[in-house]
Amino acid sequence: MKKHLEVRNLTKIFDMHILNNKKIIAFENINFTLNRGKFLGISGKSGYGKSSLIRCIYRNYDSTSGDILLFDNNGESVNLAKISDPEMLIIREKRMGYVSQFFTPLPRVTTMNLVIEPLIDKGWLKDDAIQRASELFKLFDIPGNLWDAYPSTFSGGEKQRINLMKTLIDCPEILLLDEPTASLDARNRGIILEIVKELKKQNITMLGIFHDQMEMETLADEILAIKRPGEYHDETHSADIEVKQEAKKEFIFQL
Amino acid sequence: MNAILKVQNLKKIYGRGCDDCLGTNPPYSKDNKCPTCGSIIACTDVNFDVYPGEILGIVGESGSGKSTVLSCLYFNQQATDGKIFYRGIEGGEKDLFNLNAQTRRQLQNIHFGIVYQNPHLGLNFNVSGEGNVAERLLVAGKRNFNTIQNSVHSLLERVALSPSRYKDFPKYYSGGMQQRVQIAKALISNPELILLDEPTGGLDVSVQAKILDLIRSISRELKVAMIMVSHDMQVIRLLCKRIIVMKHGRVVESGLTDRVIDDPKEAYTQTLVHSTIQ
Repeated sequence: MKKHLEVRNLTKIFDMHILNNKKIIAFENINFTLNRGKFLGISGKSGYGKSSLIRCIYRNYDSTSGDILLFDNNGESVNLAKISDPEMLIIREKRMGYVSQFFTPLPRVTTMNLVIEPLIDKGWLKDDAIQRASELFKLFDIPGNLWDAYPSTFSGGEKQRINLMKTLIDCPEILLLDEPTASLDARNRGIILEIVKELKKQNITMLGIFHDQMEMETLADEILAIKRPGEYHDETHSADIEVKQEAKKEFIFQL
Repeated sequence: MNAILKVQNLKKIYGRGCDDCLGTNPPYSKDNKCPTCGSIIACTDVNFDVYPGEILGIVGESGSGKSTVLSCLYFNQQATDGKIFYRGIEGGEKDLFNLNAQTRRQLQNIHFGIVYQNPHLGLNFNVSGEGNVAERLLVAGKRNFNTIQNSVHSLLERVALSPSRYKDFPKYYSGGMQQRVQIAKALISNPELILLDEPTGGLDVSVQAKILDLIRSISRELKVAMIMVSHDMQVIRLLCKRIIVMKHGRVVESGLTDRVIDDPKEAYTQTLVHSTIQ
């Protein structure tokens, strides 16, 4: 088993200057190790810092303290919590994908152009990129008449699929999924789940939040259960966080 | 990855400056004027790098020193202090503020391009649109008429200026057309860096959208690096992957654009982000 991602003592505290310097703890002292090709599910109630954890790994948020080590095949690591912004942009471009439940399409860019953009930037010929995108469109069940339309006009389910597709077309080695099936109907959820299962077969490492317990149980190899919320900062407390092995047996319902 | 441009401790002040206004805890808060010595601090302690092919955004409210930074980089204003290194000149070893006038002009005419919010600053209104673009090739030493005309026309076509308007004076152009000609003028010498000072300021939204799309496609196709000054967060979010935030002439925060917008750390940045009309 090769280590792919290791998070050590990661803490995120928001310092809200415009709210009289109120401090809001997103999460504290999170530790876990994720091996190559595995799926780690993150569970915990709303407001426990699940999304913030994923965003810190993608550097959409800056973590307050702790380390995020991303390993390559030779066991060499970079610390995503410490590297420079240009270095992080390269990691995002070449190695790491992030899909959230929110999709902000680029204005005035058609679905096809949006999806092939990363390939064109890498120097693909336009025809080859379109060929590859067309195959994916079929896999994602996006009808042909939408390929040259603006995604801002799409339904929620179509947007979600485009969102995932745009990240996957360039095959990241590690994928962060923040409720990619949120507010979708059963059919659309099904399509996305099938795709995630296929990615697992292709050995892509994943870290994901799925609102639906069943979905999480089907997909995850391990589950990180965040048990204590980030509370408003009155006193110091350490979050009670542990990694549950064999998720299916030991899954804790926290309703 | 190596930066193409390094800006170190750039400073522009009007007046003599004193320990108070140039220290780490400047006494002024509402304007850029020092209550002790009366100097106006346009910008100070500005440090940043620009990497190949990126668009670096500079945001901040009016008077924060954004345009002063660009203006010093293009030598339109003489910086009071600081250093700039550019890899295209002596391998990035020499401070550009110590260059002789000739090399400096070479930088302005060939290596760097600039697009101003006010087209009167960027274009000669007594010369035709194509003449404005061609002028930059002439000063760069190009002499063959056909070569010049061909490259000017192909670039004007690229920025979507109608061929029937090539020979008109800029005063007969719409605001959007004037910006297109400025962009063509900046690009004609194949520069490595383009400075954009509020290039869509004062344009209506549909024209702004076209200019922004043009800038975005040029950046992706030609991989030319750009520094874009804007007070519009939406514009910056669309175009820039990294930004610096300025206030009262100082850089208060810098980072990945989505990080600064979603997780602003400094008080001013939080105010700025929350001021955006969503």
